[in-house]
Amino acid sequence: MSISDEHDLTGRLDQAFQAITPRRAPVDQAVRHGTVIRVRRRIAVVAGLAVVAAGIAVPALLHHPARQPVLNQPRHHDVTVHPAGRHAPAGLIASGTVGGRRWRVTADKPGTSGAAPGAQCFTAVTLHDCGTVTAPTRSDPVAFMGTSNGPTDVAYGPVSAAVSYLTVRLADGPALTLHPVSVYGTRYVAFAAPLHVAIRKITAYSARGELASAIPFNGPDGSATVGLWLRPGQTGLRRATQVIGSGRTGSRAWSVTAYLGPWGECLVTRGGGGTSSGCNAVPSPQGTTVLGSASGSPGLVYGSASADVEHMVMTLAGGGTIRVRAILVGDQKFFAFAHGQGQHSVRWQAYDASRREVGSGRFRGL
Amino acid sequence: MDERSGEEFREFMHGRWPSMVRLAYGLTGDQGHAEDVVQAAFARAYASWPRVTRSGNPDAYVRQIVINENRNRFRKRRVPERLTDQLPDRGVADMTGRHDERMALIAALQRLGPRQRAVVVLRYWVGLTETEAAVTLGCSVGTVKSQASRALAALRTSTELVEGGLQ
Repeated sequence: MSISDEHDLTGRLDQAFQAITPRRAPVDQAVRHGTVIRVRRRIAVVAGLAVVAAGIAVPALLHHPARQPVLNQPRHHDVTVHPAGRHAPAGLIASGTVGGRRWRVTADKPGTSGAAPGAQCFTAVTLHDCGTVTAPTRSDPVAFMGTSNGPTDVAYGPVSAAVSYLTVRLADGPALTLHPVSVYGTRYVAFAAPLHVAIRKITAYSARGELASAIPFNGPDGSATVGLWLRPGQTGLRRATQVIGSGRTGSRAWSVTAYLGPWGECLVTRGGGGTSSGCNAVPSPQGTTVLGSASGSPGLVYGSASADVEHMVMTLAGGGTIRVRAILVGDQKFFAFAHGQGQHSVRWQAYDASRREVGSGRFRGL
Repeated sequence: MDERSGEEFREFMHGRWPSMVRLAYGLTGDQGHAEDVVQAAFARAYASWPRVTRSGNPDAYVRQIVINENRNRFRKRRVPERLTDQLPDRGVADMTGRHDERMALIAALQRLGPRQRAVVVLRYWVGLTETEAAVTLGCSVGTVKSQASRALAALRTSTELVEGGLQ
């Protein structure tokens, strides 16, 4: 054949591949999809860690920023979960159906399939994802990870040794029972649900009774984020919702809304980069700190403030300043501000009502 | 992700998009599928961007995600396909056209198994060494060697290339 040697094959492949003209790089779509993956991956966020996430643009919500992001009409969906049996293929955690569509979650052996040392790869339905697995604890009995795969929301994670089984209650009625299975030496559970059906409650039981429960935050992208696990009798944060910052930068409207509740604190940003949400699993008020940011134009930055903070002053790299009020939501103060394209902040200062500086810090990487 | 990292990702994706789509085209044989696979791969790269940059070789990292995404696409696609004993009509290549030569090569590639195809694309188009290809594919160097050898043998006897006048 004319492919007489490897060099010739290289030339022919190059001709064949160069003949196609790819469409323009869909960067915005990749970023939106990537942020959705990101928020699902960080479904269990530990206190003090800010999460930036998710991006399905919901422009209508810009006009009703204080509305709860997901309002599901009760509607029955058939959901089944089958934990892997004794003769299941290697790595299978669980499988089942959601509305007739099959799903399955498998784990690869830790450190294989391209995973970095200490990391592990999972395949949820058809999506392959690798990362470091957070170990569960007695207070956080399941370290959920997850991903959205088309109309299906898949969650999976390692389970602490104390857990015998879990129940998952969906908004449309069905309650799922999850039995941990041991895969490559770690106990896991996995389940799937329709993406836009809220998950009302997840409860972990030991052989003796209830260990802990979580009421997830059902975000604007339809996915549920498990923040705090509550021990029996604990109620978590009082529910409160408030816009902590909004405005227009150039021609673009933006807002940041705080949702406090039994899930912890979740902040939803709406602006140039679409809609994103991040949760902070904190049981009590925090000091002044930057919790997260959302890239785009305008870029949004948000954080928590101590109870004595009345306003914040952000110093921009170019020398200008932005002054924002701290807003009380429930028992926690927050701040949020926006900056235009090309701007970034380098320093923040917090002031009390008598204009005394009560805190300061530098922005790292914002 | 902070704004600077976001910009870094955007610049990276703009720059690498064409070459990654061509890589995926070699794997899938279809430009539409290739663009879907690469878009999904870049989304995954965005979700893990700090890790991608820490790896020190973002190209290799994204290339590996492209390979995995294509493997997942293949797994997914296998299910709804129906087997039939009717062979599809196959066009006869125009011996004078470069277009047909290229299509014959793409068709011949598609006759290879997914791993052989990936080895061919990585070794002979991307230009990876056997070791680099093994790391990307998550297999041994020996497997890369044997798959490459079988793939070349299959291409040399490929009906598409013979009928296309490429022998």
